[in-house]
Amino acid sequence: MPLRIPYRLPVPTLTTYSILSTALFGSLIYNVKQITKNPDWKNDLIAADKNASDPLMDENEDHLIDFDNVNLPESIRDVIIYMIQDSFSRWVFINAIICTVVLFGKSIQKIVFGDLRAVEINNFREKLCNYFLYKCIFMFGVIKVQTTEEVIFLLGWFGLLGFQQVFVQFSKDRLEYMVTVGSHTTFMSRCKIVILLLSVFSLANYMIYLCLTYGVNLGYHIFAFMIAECLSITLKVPHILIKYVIDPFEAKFIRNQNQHFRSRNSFANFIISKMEMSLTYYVSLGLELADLCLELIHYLHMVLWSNSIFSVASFVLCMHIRYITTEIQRKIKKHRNYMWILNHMEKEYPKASEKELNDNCDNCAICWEKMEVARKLPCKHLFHTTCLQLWLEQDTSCPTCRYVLNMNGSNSRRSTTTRTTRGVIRIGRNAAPINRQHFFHFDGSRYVSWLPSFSVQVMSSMTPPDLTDSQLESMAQQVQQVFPHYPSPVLIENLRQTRSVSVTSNNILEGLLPLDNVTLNDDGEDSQVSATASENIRPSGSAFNHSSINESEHDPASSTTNFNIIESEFSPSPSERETALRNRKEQLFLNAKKKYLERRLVN
Amino acid sequence: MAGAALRRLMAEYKQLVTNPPEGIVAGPVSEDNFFEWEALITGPEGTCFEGGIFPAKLVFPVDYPLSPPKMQFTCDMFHPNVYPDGRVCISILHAPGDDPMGYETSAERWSPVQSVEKILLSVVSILAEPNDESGANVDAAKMWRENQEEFKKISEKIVRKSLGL
Repeated sequence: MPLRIPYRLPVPTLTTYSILSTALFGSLIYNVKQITKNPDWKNDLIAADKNASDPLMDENEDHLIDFDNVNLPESIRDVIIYMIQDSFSRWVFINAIICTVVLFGKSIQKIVFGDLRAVEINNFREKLCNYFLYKCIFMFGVIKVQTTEEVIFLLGWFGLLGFQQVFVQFSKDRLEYMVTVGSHTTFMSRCKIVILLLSVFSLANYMIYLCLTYGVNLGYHIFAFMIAECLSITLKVPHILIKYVIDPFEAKFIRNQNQHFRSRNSFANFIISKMEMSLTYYVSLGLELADLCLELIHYLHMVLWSNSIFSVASFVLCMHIRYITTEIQRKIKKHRNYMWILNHMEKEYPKASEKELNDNCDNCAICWEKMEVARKLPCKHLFHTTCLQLWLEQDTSCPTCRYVLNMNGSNSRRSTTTRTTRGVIRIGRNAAPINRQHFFHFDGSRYVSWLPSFSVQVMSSMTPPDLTDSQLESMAQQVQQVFPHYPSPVLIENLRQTRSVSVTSNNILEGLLPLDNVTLNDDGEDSQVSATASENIRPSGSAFNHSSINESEHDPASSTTNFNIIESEFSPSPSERETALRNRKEQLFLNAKKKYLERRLVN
Repeated sequence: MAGAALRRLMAEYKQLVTNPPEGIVAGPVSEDNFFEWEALITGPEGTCFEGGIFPAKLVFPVDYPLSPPKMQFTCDMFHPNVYPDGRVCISILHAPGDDPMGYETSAERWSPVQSVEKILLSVVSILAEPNDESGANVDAAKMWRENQEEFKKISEKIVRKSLGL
């Protein structure tokens, strides 16, 4: 269960903390030096310890003996001995160690990641707080530590693990960011992160080794607790590496390869790439699930072992277990959905043939990239397999025409759509959806606050019958009344697709219906017609170039009032693009200002 | 995934540069982050917003174009379909799953065939013709319905402010 923490925590910044710790440690050393100058300090200390009846009393004797063997100058040795024996200075000493470790971690972060982004800091805080909370629960609620030594040992162990977790989290966030932003990351920064991840991985492996050699002696439960976290890290690191490092590289590699060998053996290549794709998918899915299961077992173990089912600690643990189980369920559901869609696509949407691809001569509408292999929906629209699949995971309609794909059965039905909302540009150009949807919305709160709001939707889906030729001809005549220069066969062909006079007219207006081959084939008589038609038709697209030139000759004033659209080149260099964009923005502002002032003068 | 989004955004940017729609300039705020764009939209002629240049921020999700971007005007805007904080409320910017206003059909919502250009053109069209059925800004919707004169005055002020005059 992720804990939400307030944005501002009353935690001192690292600088104040380290300054305070250093000052404390420095003053302590100075103090101890002053004390140890007194030759009788050992006796005083032992007397004081006896008074306080310190439980560590017996071990203190051992320490004294230990340090006698170490070759150190007398004064330093005395200081160390004193500090280990005095409980206050011992804590200060531990604090100093923690501070050094934190600073060390900070410096690693500086070297590898540089400055952190806001998201990363946020994630880091969340992770750290959660980690701290659960470890506290573990220490004091589950295994119920008794002695200071145990606390210190666990702190050390968990601190080490915590560092690994934090670095794994940082690496994940940063790699994710690099993959999204793409081109602007250097190879070096990527390498640094990979090296860090690999060292974390080997450290975790070493810790597993330690568990296996020493942990077993501590009893199987403790051993299981200790090893679970290390295993979790060893699962996380490969997952991140596969997801963010190997996968993008592989994708690039496959694409390059495809371009090279496209002509020779595209099918075999496709199969290979598909296999690799599913391999990384399965490996990362497996790792993710294994990690979650491990966590689940770990926490279940904690709850069962803590023996106190009705404590706050076990309540928090149970909440976390619930969170993990839903997470696992979500993953499995997503995977099943993925598999199902994959199968469905395989069965229902055939691969487009070479001819269809050539006829289509358009890019995939989802990623805007060229299609080598594509799948065809029942509405005849083509998409890349992966693009289509990603879309079908969230919606079951054709992205282009909104044809509703019936994912439950084998048949598809026409989409039932409305065009009620004004101010929305409808893009469905090819097929006009038949409106069979009645809609009633009652907003009660508009009248009286306690009245309910409800809406009624009546859907009746029916496949529109194919239009007969005579119907098409009459429709074509209607269109021809407005656009006399379009020959009726072209119009009928388009009407057969659109089934609507208005959609075909729109297509003509938007220049989607090619005219150039028509006008080229016809005689001069027709070009005259097209010149007159230009009064009706807003010139757009290359098909109308000749008529728009005529128009500007007639009316030169109209062209000067037009916006100065700078038809600029798309520069390959990012900095040039940035300046060009800035210039265009300034130009737009200037033009608008000028125009505004002119209009004010006229008024 | 994210790589695909990046390539698509690059392609759209290229298209917007080489073949720009009238009165619209859009591009990434910084080349370091292609997922945040700034767009300048000219108020359409013959409407209350005529002549104004309205800057807006577009934030793209990592799985673009499968999910829609978010759009928010960064200037003052008083319009029935724009929330007081500048967020634009039009149906094509809503993901196929969610339905904040409760009455759109999925056909009016986001689809990967939409693009930045189409979004911006839709926004131009709602500037010209607000849709007072889905009131993101209730005050503006009410004024648009009942007191066009007042609405014109306010929009005139916004236009002047957007031009820095």
